[in-house]
Amino acid sequence: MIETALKALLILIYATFVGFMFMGIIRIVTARIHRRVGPPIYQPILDTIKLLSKKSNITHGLIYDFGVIYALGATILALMFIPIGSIGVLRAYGDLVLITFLLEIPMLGIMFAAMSSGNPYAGIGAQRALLTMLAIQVPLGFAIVALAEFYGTFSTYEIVMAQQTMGWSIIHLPLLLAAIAYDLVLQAMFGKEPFDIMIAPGEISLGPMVEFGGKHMGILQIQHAIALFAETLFFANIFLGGAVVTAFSSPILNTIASLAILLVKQIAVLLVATFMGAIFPRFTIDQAAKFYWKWPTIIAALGAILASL
Amino acid sequence: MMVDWRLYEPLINFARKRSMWIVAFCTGCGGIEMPPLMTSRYDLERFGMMPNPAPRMADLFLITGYVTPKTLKRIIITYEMQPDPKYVLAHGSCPLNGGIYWDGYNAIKHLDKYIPVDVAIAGCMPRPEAVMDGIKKMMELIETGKADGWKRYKENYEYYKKNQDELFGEGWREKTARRWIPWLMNKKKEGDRQ
Amino acid sequence: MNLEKEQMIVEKILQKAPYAEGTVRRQRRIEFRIPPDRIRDFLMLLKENNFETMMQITAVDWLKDGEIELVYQMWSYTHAVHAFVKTRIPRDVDKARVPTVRDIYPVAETYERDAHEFYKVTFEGNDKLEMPWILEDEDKEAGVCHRKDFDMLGYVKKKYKLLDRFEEDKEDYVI
Repeated sequence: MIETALKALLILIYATFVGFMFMGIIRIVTARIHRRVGPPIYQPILDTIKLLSKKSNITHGLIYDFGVIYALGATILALMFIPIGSIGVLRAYGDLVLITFLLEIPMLGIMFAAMSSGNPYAGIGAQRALLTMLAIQVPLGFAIVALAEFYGTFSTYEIVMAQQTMGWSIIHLPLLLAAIAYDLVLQAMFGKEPFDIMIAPGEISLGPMVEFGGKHMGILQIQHAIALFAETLFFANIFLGGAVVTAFSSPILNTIASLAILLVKQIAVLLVATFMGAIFPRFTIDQAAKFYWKWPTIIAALGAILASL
Repeated sequence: MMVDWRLYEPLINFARKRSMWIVAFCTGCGGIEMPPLMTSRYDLERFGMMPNPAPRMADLFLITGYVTPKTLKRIIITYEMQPDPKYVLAHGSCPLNGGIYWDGYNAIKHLDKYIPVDVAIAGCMPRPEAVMDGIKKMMELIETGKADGWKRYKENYEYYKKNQDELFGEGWREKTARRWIPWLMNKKKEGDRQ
Repeated sequence: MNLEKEQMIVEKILQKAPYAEGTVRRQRRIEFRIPPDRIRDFLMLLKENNFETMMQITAVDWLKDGEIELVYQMWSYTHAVHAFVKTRIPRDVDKARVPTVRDIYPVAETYERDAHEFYKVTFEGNDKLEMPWILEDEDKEAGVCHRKDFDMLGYVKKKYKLLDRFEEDKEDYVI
């Protein structure tokens, strides 16, 4: 009992720290692509400390405060279900559909809080974010169905175990198609160009986050860090063959080795998303919806059909 | 278990000076000196400063250039929307004493009477190197805890309010908010009739 | 220097408008003077002669003559010629009235609002003259305008209370 709580706390601290490093990596890689120097890697930690130490807070009522905590709680819960190497708190219960559902709830929580603040920009941003979420459901569903058909099970842990013997998922053709579709969906879930219409700076003043200041924004930054970690970890587990290392004799060295291998795979996913985000401009909301319902749906559906043969 | 946050003041001040977010409000002629600061040559993001369109999340307000009474009303409303602590940086000679518009009917002569200004940078427009010098001075003020424009605004609010009311007339917020309503209502009636 | 095209345009217009006088100032610039009650017919005539856009309505205050001169600046894309159309109206606030040209050139509504706010010229037929433009309410109540008999420096001193060290009868100010 104590051991589980200690493991959960350690996973949480590790995820927050590495999540902040990922946010810093995104900023410095984008800056280097633009041929500038860029902020240091630990910059998001300084941002969060500054935001949490603001002396006055503006609140618009109960739902406004509650939505932010709701988003953070859902992300932490999603993190507990994903297997990390050989440790994992609730990994026996984590199946694909549950984790996908839990990774989409934070957006709903932010929408509650934003719409209850009464700012018209927040209302427009919330509408667009919900429409984006609606648009990404179709290729996401087909990709998950392709995975389940191929491996015959919905449980994430068994998929990871099966990949240790059968090789990475993307070697097989139907799962390669599903991985491409899921990678495009990942761009919208991170909130990066070309699908960052929900957090559009300069167009609708940062969309739903326009009224958050001070401590609310600090909590949202922590939530973004953990969400980055959880989403890249999920992708690395189901498509790139998550790491279960049994070569060493002591379990601590096993854990450290598997965490290191997972970190390399996660950074690869993150860099692909950053490179795509640095090049493209932004789609409008109807262009984004039409795009998602055309090509990624066709690719993912093809993958699902091929997987069941 | 109450932690004494004053022990952590050096760390918090270090975080505050290395991640200032700028309100994206470019007044006057100096709005054209902002892009050279943000782009590759004089990169401002390595100090952690980012432009941010929402005033609720930003701390630094750059007043670049002359200020008309019409703009000053909006600046005051935006400044009061920001959470504490907040800083104001004034570029150019127009916020100091009127600059080249010293005898104009439409430019504010001494901005410190209406909004507390922390650091003022001289020049007509100052070059990016001069602006960086001003930012360095602002970072020193934050580190030693002397950047207290927001404290001055709170403590001397009657003084600032008296100056604002003398310039604009009493009850200027409601009058500004209602100024366009008769014309928009007219348009709506015309649109309905058509 | 070949001024034939401009001469031809001036002659063609003066044939149809005998109340006007027209000259050619230089290449691509011609000038007309008309009495103030014939503005609408003249501008309709110009529009039929390929002067598609109105660029500006400028007001000049002649204090000694007691008149305000309105200059309508027209540009033609087909001929590439800039035409000035000048009229003079009396200077008192209740006598400075001119018919509006808003239905001939729709953009004239904004320029007439501009001239009304700064020079107090009334354009009959334009119902949007009082729409908020540049001056704020407190300036309008104090009667700020760009006419030459308005004491601008005194108004600035009263409003900002900061220019007490400058005197009005000096020619060079050393700050």
